[in-house]
Amino acid sequence: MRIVSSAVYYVPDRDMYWMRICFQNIAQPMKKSTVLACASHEYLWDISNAFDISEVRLDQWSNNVLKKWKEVGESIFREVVHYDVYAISQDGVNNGLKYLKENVVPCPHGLH
Amino acid sequence: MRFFFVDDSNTAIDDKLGFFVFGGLVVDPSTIRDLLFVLRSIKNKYGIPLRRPVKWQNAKWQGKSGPLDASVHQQMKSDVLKAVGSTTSRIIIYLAPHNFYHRSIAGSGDSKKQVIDPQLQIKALKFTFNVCFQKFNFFLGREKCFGIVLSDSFPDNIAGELLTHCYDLHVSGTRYSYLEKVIQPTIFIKLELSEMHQVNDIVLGAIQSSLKEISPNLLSVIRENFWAVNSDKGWTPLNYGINIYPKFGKTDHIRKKVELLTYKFGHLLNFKI
Repeated sequence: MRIVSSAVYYVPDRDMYWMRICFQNIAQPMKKSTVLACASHEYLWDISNAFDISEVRLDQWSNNVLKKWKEVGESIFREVVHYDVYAISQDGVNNGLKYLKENVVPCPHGLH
Repeated sequence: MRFFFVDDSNTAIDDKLGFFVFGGLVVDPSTIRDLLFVLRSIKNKYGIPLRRPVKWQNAKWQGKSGPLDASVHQQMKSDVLKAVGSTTSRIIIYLAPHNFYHRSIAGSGDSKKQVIDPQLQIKALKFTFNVCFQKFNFFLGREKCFGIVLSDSFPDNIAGELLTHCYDLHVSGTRYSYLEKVIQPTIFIKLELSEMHQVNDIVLGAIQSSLKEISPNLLSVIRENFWAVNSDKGWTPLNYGINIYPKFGKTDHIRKKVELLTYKFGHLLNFKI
């Protein structure tokens, strides 16, 4: 499986971070899938207990997201796009999902 | 002369913000006409009766405030905030945890539910009034003028005691009777009779929604309206226009929430904590 993971982007207006991971089946290149993940500042702050979110913390989060979706394996290709929101409230989950769906293109370059 | 329009927002218990917001706009009377013109124009545009407030989530007003959908509501908020942002109005608000207002009662099975306890609510509001009105008095002193507080009305079961408290702040020799710049006890008005309270309600709603997780920041257009001073950390509305309580929380959970709220305001309004 070929995996391309983006950098973590910060959206200051929403105080949230998002990333994109593109998956492609090497043997069957037409099989592709994208994971769009976001995390609120509240979520990252809640688990790190640090006022400012460090690069180390962001790397930990992005690596955890990557690891989680790698473990899904071939069944990831059942959906073209997967949304993964990390928030501490239902409002946060809803707002994060809405933001990803309305503002982030699944895979503009690279694999797709 | 300044009018301080006050109201409370987000008092219903939920897991979204965890804090209620009280306070509102401090307005020079000469700017009121322009603000009301904007509000009326918006209501006419969207077919809302003039006496009805612009409410979205309050069950009392749902269905009565005209054909509102989320995008229309957002646009209305944005238009009112821009109008407020173009004035010299100042914002003074107070935030405190929901458990200042609520207590647990037994629900079905082992569950508990939170309800507003009138006695806790009265106590919370008295404290809120003390903080907000003192801040307003301090503001008036710096502006070298007098002022009056106009509040949205409260339910009948607590209104009497709150009115008595407001009189005590001004008349008798209590330790809060040094509101020398506030010319008379608070006047209570029903929201639907006061268009400035409806403007105020929209501002408080925008503050509340901007504080929620991953919500759009609506506050940049009214940043300069938050009453603030310049300190060694630069421009700050903390403890002037924005007052977050408790200062010393009893539990880690509350202390963390206060820290998070403080951070959020710092981020939304771009000032250093």
